[in-house]
Amino acid sequence: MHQASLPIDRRRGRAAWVAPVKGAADASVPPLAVFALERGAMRLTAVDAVAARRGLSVGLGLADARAMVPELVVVEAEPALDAALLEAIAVWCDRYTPLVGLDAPDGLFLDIAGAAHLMGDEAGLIDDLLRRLTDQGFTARAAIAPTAGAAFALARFGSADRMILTERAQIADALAPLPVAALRLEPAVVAGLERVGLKTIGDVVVRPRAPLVARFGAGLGRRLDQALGHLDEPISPRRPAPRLMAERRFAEPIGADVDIAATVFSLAEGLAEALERRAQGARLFELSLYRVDGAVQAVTVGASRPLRDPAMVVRLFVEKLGRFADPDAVGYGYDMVRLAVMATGADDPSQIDLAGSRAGEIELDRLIDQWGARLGVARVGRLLPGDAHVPEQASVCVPAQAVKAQAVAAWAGEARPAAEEPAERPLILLDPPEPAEALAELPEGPPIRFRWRRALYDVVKVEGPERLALPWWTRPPDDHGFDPAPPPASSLPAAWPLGLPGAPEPGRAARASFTRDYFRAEDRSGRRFWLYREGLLAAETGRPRWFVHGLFA
Amino acid sequence: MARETVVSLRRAIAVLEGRAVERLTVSDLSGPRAPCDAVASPHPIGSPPAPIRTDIVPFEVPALDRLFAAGGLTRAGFHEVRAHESRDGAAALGFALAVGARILAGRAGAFVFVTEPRAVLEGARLHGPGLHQFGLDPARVVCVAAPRVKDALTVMEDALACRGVAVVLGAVHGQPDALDMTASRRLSLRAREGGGTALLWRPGAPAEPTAALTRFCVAPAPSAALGGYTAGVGRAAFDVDVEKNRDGRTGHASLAWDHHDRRFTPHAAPSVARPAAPVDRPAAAQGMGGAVLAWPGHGRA
Repeated sequence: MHQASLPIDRRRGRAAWVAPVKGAADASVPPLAVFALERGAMRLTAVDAVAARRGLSVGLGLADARAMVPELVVVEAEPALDAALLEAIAVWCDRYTPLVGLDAPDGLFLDIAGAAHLMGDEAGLIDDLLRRLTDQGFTARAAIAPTAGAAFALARFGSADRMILTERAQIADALAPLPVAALRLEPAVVAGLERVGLKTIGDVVVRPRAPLVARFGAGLGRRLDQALGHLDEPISPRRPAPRLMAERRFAEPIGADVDIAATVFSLAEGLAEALERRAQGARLFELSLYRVDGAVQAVTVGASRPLRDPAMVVRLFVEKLGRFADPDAVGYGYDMVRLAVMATGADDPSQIDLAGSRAGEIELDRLIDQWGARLGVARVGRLLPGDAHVPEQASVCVPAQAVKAQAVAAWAGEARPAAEEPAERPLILLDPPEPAEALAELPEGPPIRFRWRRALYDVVKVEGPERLALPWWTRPPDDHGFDPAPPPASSLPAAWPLGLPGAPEPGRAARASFTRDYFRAEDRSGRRFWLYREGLLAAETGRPRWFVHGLFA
Repeated sequence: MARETVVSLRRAIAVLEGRAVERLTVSDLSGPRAPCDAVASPHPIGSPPAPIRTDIVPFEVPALDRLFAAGGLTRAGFHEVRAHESRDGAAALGFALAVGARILAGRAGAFVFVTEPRAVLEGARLHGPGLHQFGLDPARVVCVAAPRVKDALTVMEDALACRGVAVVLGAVHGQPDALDMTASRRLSLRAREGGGTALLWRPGAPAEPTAALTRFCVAPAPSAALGGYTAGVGRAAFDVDVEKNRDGRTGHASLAWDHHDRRFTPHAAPSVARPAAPVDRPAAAQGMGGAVLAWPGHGRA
């Protein structure tokens, strides 16, 4: 088994999408070049095959190029779009191997160790890759080599657009005729080497190493060793590699939801065997659907407890399949489906024991997974005590998957009021606190009457204040203590702000450091409120404001 | 119509609805329904106390328990808790949570709290520390924030069919179209089959017909002094109207919630003068009509 890599060189810019040139020798197509501002001048950054044959090359000034080829079509470079396109191609390349690394701006590394046999052999893989890319309008070159450095050199500077090198021993010979630029060196180092007459890699390899390194830096030695395989060079994959995965390719694309579900089931069956051998269950699944036209759709679902039953796996995805099977999403159909296990957990022996309350708990966990898949993981939560005395952060709602044990432990440690003590915290917490107009004694008296949500309430019983000093370190540097504009009405959340305490609303950050005096108040009818006065008179603010923060039963 | 015919018809309905048949006797139908608390217990005086039933959740407040033929709330059933006005929703939610806390104390399983966006705006946001002090273990609560009423009802049905769920409390504001007779009947059936308790919190909803076994209309009551401190705010207290009761009679009771011992106690504080709830006809016939009076210009006080 050898480590193999395969860079793809994308020679054309974004324009390749706009005007895909098949059979680039066609003279009727006007030459195309991409330019950008470089070193103070407009220079060409990419040229197509027609332009190259007319004598244009990368680095030429735009004015010179136009003088040489008057009918040249020029497009300004858009690096962000190029990067996005490269990213999209990387996603598409996931069909060959999960380990795809970006080599910006115009290359990709694919670690195909153990993956080539899926396409027959290395030649089959490289042919399939280049054929599919060419069909989509890309001009690409690829090389397979035992090291990433060698693959880079061969793909960019090799004699053919596809090269395969399988033995480490061949690397030195294959790289020898290539220019030193193929070693991925700094431009200054390349220029320096060329100035002293070392134009090819072969010239450099045969020289004694020490003087070269002394003159051109350690980078040269490192790159040489990496290319020749003396030094290991890991490819940093774009995404975490799955623990396990199963995939299926189709000669005829599929699109119906039942077909996708059946495929997921059979893939999950394959994974279940592998998981069982490892005595593990899957906690996180990713389903990727590769469309014929190159688009990739993926969805991730989590499981509350380690899982391997194929029927359960399908049930997790069943809520999402409708979206994939939508005619707009299907397009010409999917020709490959992959199910990957992104995270695993130790197998739970209780999966076999299906009796008593344990079975009920397992059922609930599965239900939570289903709700999470249907409504969104953030919409299904459990309450956890927050590590703060600020009421807004005293309790957080976190996604319910996998925090049950934590919740039980956390709440067991919280104190409950004694028999003759009232509850000090409200059942309902309004977030954000809602402004109220209150009549109260100055400077620190309890509220006597207040208006909230346009209704007036007479306070007949009141307890307080409970003074909460909020963290002073959240005070913005330019805050002089007087209250800013009230928060806009639109800052009221439209839906339950589940999840972790998010960014504070506008206007709230500035007030966040005011001291709050909380009162429990009861009105004449028995409605019980939790109100607070924000800001100490004179010390913090000239006009303390009142808020209703919670409701008691 | 002959009384026997009525009884036989009601028996047939009871069989269809899966209720206990033997509770219905001719004597149940005798005489006009007495208003409020003035009526005697349906159990004959001097009869031996009924054995403790696990399918019943007693309130342990005689004024309320005697309204139910079985002596308490049917556990495997669907019950509605509403409030006349949206601003009394907190009291109604507190009552529903207290009932939930009592059920949780008696059996294993989770408490699933399902909300829809409008109910969240009306205050369906549970505060963990507050719940903990109220007597409902927050560790057993699973919150589901559904994006639509329809989704919320589906989640409730799913939860009722699950063995790991003891109580499902849904929060739905007003009268959404999705919550029609069919939907409430489905909830009722799921609760009966699954054995869980379905509670539906509806602040500002009118007393419309649903398939619920019971419907409570809850208003807050002034709290009594706690620990001898008369100026302070005491325990949660509720004025509960049983507006609809398929397991017994309608009526009214005043309760307080002892959050320390997780039990209801009779509430003795003088109740504020409020119009007596009609017991013999739907609340829609009342002057207010149970209208959705969302935060009217001034309080009732």
